[in-house]
Amino acid sequence: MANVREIARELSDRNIGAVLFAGSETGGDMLNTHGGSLEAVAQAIDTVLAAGKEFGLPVAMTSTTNMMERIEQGARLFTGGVTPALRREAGR
Amino acid sequence: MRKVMLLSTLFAVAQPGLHAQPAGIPAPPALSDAQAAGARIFQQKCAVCHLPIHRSGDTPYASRLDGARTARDRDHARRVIEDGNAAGMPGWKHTLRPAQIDALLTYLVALDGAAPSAAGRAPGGSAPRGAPPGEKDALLAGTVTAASGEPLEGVTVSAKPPGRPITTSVFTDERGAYVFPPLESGPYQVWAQAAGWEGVWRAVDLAGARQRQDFVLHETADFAAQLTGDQMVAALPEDTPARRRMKAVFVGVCTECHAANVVLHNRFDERGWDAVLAAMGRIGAMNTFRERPSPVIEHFRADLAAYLAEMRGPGPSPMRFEVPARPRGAGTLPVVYEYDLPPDAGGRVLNTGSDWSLGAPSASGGGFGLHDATVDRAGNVWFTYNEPESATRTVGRVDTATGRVTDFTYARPDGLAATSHGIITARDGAVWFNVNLRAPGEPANERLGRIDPRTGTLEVFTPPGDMRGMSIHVAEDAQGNIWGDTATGAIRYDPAARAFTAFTSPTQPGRTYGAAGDRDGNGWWTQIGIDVIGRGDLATGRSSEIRLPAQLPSFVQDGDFSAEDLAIYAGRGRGLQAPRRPAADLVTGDVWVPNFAGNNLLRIDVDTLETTYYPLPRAAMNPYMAGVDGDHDVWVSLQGGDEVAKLDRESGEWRLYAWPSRGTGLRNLAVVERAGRVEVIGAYFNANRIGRMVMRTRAEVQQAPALVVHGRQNPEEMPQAGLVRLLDEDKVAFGVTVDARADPVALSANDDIDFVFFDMEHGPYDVSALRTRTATCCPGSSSRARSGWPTSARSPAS
Repeated sequence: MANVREIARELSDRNIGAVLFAGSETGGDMLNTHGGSLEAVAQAIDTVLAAGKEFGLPVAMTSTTNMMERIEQGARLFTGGVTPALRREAGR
Repeated sequence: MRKVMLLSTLFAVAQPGLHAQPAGIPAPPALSDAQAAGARIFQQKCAVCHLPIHRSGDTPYASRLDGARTARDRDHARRVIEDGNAAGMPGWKHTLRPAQIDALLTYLVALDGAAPSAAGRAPGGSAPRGAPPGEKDALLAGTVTAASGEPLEGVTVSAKPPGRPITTSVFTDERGAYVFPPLESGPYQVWAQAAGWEGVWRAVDLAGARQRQDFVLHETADFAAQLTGDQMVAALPEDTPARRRMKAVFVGVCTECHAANVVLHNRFDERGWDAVLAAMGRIGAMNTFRERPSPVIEHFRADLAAYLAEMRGPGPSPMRFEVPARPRGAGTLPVVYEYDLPPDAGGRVLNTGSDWSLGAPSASGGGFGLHDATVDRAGNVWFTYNEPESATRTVGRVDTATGRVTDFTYARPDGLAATSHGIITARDGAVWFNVNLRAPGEPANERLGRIDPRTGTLEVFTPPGDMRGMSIHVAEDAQGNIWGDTATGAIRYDPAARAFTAFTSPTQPGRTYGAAGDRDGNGWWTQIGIDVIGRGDLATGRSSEIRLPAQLPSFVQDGDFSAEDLAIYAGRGRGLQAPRRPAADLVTGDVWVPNFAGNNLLRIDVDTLETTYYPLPRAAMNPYMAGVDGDHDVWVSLQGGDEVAKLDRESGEWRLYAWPSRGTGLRNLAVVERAGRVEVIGAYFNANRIGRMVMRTRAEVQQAPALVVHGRQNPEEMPQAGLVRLLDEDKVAFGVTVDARADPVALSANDDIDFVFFDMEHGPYDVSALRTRTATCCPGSSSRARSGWPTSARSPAS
């Protein structure tokens, strides 16, 4: 997390196509590495999304409680829990 | 009523004959194509009387045939085949076409009368052998449509490498699409079949990572041979008392041993059918010969011969065959593996049931012996063998990776192999089975066998004193004790205490058939001849019983049978239900009993003894054995058809799952759960094959490779390209996460899914599985692991 912005910048500068993987904001690795605090996880994901948006890299997430807000922040790939209604909401 | 004996006799593994032996398969003579075609007809139509391939000696009806004699007077032989003779042979000219009779004669001339086993045991080539397992990295998928372009759901699509013993089958979904699990690379024969449609066979070389094979089927009006037994029964009219009477007798008498399609594929005149009935009256279910004919068959013989000649004779028939419904919905999800067993005496079954147009196979063709099957924790299949002349096979194991069969022998006193019948995999992984040391003509000598599948160690436990051993069925109760039926009731073996406990039925005799141990450690058994369910209370040692009500076939009406009929046909004629092989749900406590003639499944609540009956969805399905899965749903084998039925315990609704072959004649059934999947295993009694049905989820099947299923083989149209395009267009993409344990074909094809994410961090680090998966979505990548995750990405803003 500490270097995510630098990683994104390097990828962009070297013209390497990539996706930043932010993971889940409701559980998983980020929750383990952020002391079990959902608030801290949300802030970390904000950081990843910001880095992706700044350097033109799409961000992937495994789950979110607010998909539309995350899309606005730059999230473009979602795994898990897809439904036709969510797709429609996302313009698909 | 209860006897407890604390001593059991243990035969240690060091005894001769207890080690694993590979199945002996003598090198067969080569036969020409015409001879092989004739040999197949001979196995199916002639062997039951003329040359039981696996048996020595003559039958009571006909001697073994002499090729030289046939060659000397071929015209005479043809006339006898066509018209029959006064010695009791039926004429086959209404069943076999002239070209088939020519092929049969060509084969008969090749028979060596002095040594019939040489040609008879091995017609048509060597038994398929197992081969070293290769990497399963090839994918096969496609579509099946009608000539009109309409997608066909529920079509059976099968694939088999030539000369290999494993056939893999899947079913098309509502889009007409099918997808196989990963297969080994190499040449395959792939074919598609559906009743009412001509089957199509194709040679496919799965040399690459992926192959698409589409099929276009054409309807056929000549589909009677494709029907299952119960579908044949459905075509028999019920419009008059006489026809209902004979239909009931046909179902009650003929389908006790084999499904109706074994019989009704043939056509004879009345004399021919009478000859068949005369023979059948003296042939037992296990291909034994009775000195005195069946009194029931003798009573109905003349009327039944006339009836069968009306239904399946040279003239027009009132039977109305309907194209049956194909599997739908969840019924299309399984993948079925079928393992061909080499008969222990060599040779192989020439009609395995895979080609539906050939009709149902006959056990007389060398298929006799196989009875029950189960699967162990490692995924290998174990089976019992009931052929008293086998030298090596008490039980056998099929390596499901290669198809290789290994015999395990427990020698009886005359040196041949003891027979076996029922088999289970216990919850601790051990395999238990019945053992019978009886030689032909001797009284039963029944014991209990156990094999540790990891070591192959075989032990046999003998009930002490005058206790009778397990005869037909073995089952495990919730405490790990092994139950089985005996001639007089049931018996329980406590593996920890090495002690047997016997229970005796209050009503004798009753022909005990199956047994189960329940959640509370009590025992249940069926008395097939008197419609009684026995219960043994472990705490009190007492036996009690539940009596079943009469249940006539649904089409039988009062007065269809005369008093004379009922005097000799008192059981079936009055509605005997014939309970067979039960199963206990070790969690809910329910005991489930398939009533073979009653054509229903009985649920017994062990707490209240309340009984509930669930009729099978079609007549004459003949449920034989039950098994319970982890959802407490109940699976039932159907001897009368080529399906297995699952009862949803909550809704009481049935769902049918099809076997890919005809004439499966399924008696036993084992339900196991491995790696989170339900597997149903059954032995094809007549064809010497074992079927293993592995359930897949709808998501797994529908997430099969879209490019293959829908034919988008252009790399520009592949899923990665689509995802890159979405991101280029700044659109949101949705995907799924899979790990190495998931089915490798579970990749994105669902219209709601744009990509697949391979997670190697949280699941097994299985590069081989990843390679297979990436082969699905990345052509040419099968030799190098590579992520299916697209690496192209651009700024959403751009």
